Amino acid sequence: MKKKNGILYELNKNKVKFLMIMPAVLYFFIMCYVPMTGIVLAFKNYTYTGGIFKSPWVGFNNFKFFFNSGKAFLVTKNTILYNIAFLIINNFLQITVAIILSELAGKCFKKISQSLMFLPYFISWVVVGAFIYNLFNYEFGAVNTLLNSMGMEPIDVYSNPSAWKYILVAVSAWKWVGYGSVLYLAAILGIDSEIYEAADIDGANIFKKIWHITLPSLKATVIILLLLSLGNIMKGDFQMFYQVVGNNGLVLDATDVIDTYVVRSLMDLQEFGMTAAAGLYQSVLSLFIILGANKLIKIIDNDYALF
Amino acid sequence: MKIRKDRLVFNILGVVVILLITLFCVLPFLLILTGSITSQGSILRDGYRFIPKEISFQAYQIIFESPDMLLKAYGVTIMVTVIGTLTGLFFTAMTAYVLNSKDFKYRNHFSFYFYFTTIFGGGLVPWYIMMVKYLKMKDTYMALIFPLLMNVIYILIKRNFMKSIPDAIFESAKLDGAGDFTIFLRLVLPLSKPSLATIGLFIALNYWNDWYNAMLFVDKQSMFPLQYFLYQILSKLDFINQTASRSGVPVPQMPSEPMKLAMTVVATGPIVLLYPFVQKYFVKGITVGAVKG
Amino acid sequence: MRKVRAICLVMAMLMLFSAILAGCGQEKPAAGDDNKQVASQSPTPASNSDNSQKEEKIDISKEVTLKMYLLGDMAKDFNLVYGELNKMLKEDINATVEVSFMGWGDYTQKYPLVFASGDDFDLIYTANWAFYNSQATKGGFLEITKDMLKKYAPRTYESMYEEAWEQAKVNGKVYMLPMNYKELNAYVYMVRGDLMAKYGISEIKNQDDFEKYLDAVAKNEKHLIPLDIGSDMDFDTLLRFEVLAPQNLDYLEPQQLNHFFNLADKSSGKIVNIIETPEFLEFAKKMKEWKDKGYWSKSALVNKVSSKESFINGKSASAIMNLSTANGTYTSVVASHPEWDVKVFDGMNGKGIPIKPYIQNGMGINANSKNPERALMFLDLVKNEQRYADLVTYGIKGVHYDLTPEGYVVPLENSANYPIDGNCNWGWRDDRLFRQVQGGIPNYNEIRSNWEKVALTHPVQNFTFDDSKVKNEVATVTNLWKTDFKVVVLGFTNDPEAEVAKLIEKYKTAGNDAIIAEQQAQIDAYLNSLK
Repeated sequence: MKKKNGILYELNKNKVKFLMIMPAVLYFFIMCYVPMTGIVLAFKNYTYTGGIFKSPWVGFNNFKFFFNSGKAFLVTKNTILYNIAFLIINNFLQITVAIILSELAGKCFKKISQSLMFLPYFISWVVVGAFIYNLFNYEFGAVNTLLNSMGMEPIDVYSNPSAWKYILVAVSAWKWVGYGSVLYLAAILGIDSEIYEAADIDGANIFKKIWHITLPSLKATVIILLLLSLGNIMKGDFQMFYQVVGNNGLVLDATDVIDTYVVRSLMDLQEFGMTAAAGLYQSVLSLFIILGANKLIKIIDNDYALF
Repeated sequence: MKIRKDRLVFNILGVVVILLITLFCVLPFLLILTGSITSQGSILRDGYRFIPKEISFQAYQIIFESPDMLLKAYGVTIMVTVIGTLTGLFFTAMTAYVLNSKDFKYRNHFSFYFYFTTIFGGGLVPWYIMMVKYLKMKDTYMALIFPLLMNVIYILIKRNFMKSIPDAIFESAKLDGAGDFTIFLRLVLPLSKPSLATIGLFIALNYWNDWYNAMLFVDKQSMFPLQYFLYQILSKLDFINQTASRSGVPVPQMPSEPMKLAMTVVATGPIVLLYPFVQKYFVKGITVGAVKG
Repeated sequence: MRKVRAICLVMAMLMLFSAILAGCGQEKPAAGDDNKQVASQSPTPASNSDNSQKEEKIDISKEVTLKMYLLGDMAKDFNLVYGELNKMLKEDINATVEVSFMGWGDYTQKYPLVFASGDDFDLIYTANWAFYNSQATKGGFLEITKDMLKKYAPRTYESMYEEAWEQAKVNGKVYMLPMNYKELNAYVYMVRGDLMAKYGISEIKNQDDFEKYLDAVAKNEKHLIPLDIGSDMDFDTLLRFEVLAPQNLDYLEPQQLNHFFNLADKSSGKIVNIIETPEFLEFAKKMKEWKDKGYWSKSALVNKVSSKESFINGKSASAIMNLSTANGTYTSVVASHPEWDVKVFDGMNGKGIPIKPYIQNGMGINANSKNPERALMFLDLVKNEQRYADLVTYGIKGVHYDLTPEGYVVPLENSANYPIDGNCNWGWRDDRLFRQVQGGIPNYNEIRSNWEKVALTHPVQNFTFDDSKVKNEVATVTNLWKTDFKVVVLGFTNDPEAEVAKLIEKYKTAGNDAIIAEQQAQIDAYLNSLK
């Protein structure tokens, strides 16, 4: 009896499965786990002669630049809040689009609109940044030109920190709506169509079907995507923040996230140790958040947990 | 058949919402199209306009200056995307299948093993050393394929999609004497076409848009993928425009602004054509019922 | 509990493999060390034995390929030109060079990586703004000694400016061959003559005249931005005219620390923390006024286009740039917009003109290089022989450029395929071999010779800051330079007095005083060592 729980027994029983999962295990071992040793750099003063292992230890010295700046709390808070806002709004929009698309009849309309919604994904942040500048430039921007022609006062977005919160959230939603909705669409298509047929026979209207069948079936996908995004909650899309907002000192308190702050500080220094330190800080916080969230999900419904 | 009232309301609302969103997505792209055929000076002075003030095809002329190079870059990208996507998709699905097997005792441990890598990373340096010194991938096509081959997020999403396949199917197949690999190949893959198409699309897009790995690992110009090829052109133009020419040579104005836009057009065009192909697999109702019969 | 066990397992595995990797890693650094010692020692005994066998020739019987990294992008005809170069090199030193470029968009990432990976390339472009200091302190470069120069690069040994050699020292050791070229760090106004005539401004002699010009444009030419500054490249140019030049101040490298010294006061190297001076406060007030009057865009903080580019394209009415850039720009603007009647005026008022550090361009040798001798011999050729310098700077004669009888360079049609002086040949530029290009600003020579008469150097320019003790502070202060400091300099303030005070406070919090203390101590020690 005891043997039945052992690793060997399991190995023997699921030989093929172990073989099937091995490529991925090896892959992540080589590409992620071995390089992960680089985390020690966070506590070291990296030199080429010393390499990763022989460079001298410096304790927590590499973390100082981040915590002594007085900005650590602010940028951490910004990072988390932005990510939560992105998470909620982007997913809401993507689910809405996916549900509508799955229910609409016109095949051609669906296909074309779906393709077109994908376009923003291909527009690089550099170009998005240029567009934003063209929209909001005080003297020549499209918005102010329009306001002027209507006899209204021009607005100065570049000195207005709170405007950027909305701009960033809107831009993120716009960029990912097509991409994200594909995933949800695939999930909806995976729902057994017999359930819908049964509901039709019962005479349920479309809103009821969405509410009682589609949305509950999406729960698993939503939760898994939520958990996966939580793992990245301490990271920010650097390109997005940097290109859309730029180095605008007037609004940084509202827009600075950990990644932009770190890159700006270390760009000219090239200190691998300090970069590693900032990364480790993000990772550790993420780990706590994700472990907590996973635990919570497990309590509610074990089936949805990540691991 | 009479259209029911709730249908009507839903359809009208739905079409309006979709149209609005689509409009927001299309208009900027139109600006990109028109902007890419505008002169540099006009973009700097007048901004982006739906009807360009000064038409200039200079950006495209520069991109198409050496068509053989451009074709080569397309070729590299297509090759890397096709090989990478097919291989990556296969391993992703296979891994997901194992992680989804209820009788695989350590599946949660393995999930954690994979997931952990998304939270902790060793940073650029050790990874670069691994790729260059130990895997010897500098200046190889493998350097463009290998780093994007598998993605934990996709594996876990794929696993989640597999949950919708009823366990009964696996069990009956097992009773028929089918092994795991056969079940995966013959049953699971055909059953999960929409999710395979989705994940495949994502993997393909990653390959298509990747220039970072080329930047790090490829020095040979003939091996540049499309995005990096274009990126190089842009950075060259930017340099010419911004550099302080010390010797006093007259510096021609380079169309760096329209180039940013033309790049998007050149790189996006072909992949958008791929999308309808993927959509083919987004057909409702092919799932469980079809197999049961 | 399970989770804890899983984490433990993962950690244990990690440790196991870090041990394995450590095993692999040990060979490499050791090998690197060896190389370095061999390389830096071998010339010494060799030069000792020089006495006995004076005529001993350097052994070049083995053909070698030198791997060289340059910054920028490969020009279309680069391989053509370097094909020629390689023919010459093959004949002279039995070597060829193989060049890889690091693009402007990615060199900041790639540069440290080629060192970190233990690549055995031979030569790399380096500069005080391109990681010279940080790679040198990390052990990336091979130390270059005078003995090595004597033996492998004798002509460079003779021709090199002693100041340049001194500037290249990091902790007393030299890791690059700096360029041998004097460049002035001084700026000019470029304005439109047609607008000057329209508003009755005859000449721009100083900042007040310039203000009149900006004011006339701001009031009357609504479609033009008077001066389109704000990009990261040129947001601080007005600071130079208003505050730095009049007091003979110049930046201590690295610039983003925002520390200055007095060029005219040769006896001391006292750091000036400019934001605490009354002049800076006055400047901040003036800039606020100028910004409010609309001399530049209200969106200037996120401007990504330089004032020069904006001016060329007719978006703005003036630009500020250094003289040689102005020279090139002038030629192209006169051709495209003759009706503007572009004029260039000296903005320096005869004060505060420094000769730029020589180490802003140079070539370094990799610590892992297998052929440092041949690399030095290569540099000796391009740094000292006109035919080599001409080839790599201007391209192939008759194809890319031609020479006038007076020795001026005339670009030919194909010049675009190998831009003049645009192929990262700056690392080995030399005053004696550099040629002027025909054309340009009419008063170029006048301005240049005026400046040369009053140009200043200061021993502190040769000083390189070792920031290893205050890295954290440097990181936070760097951040302020690009954000809060820029805001004040561009006049985006409501109450300059209060906001300058706040800026000073922020610098204090960031640990600026610690940097100043450390930097000052190093400067004093350095100056003492010269006495």
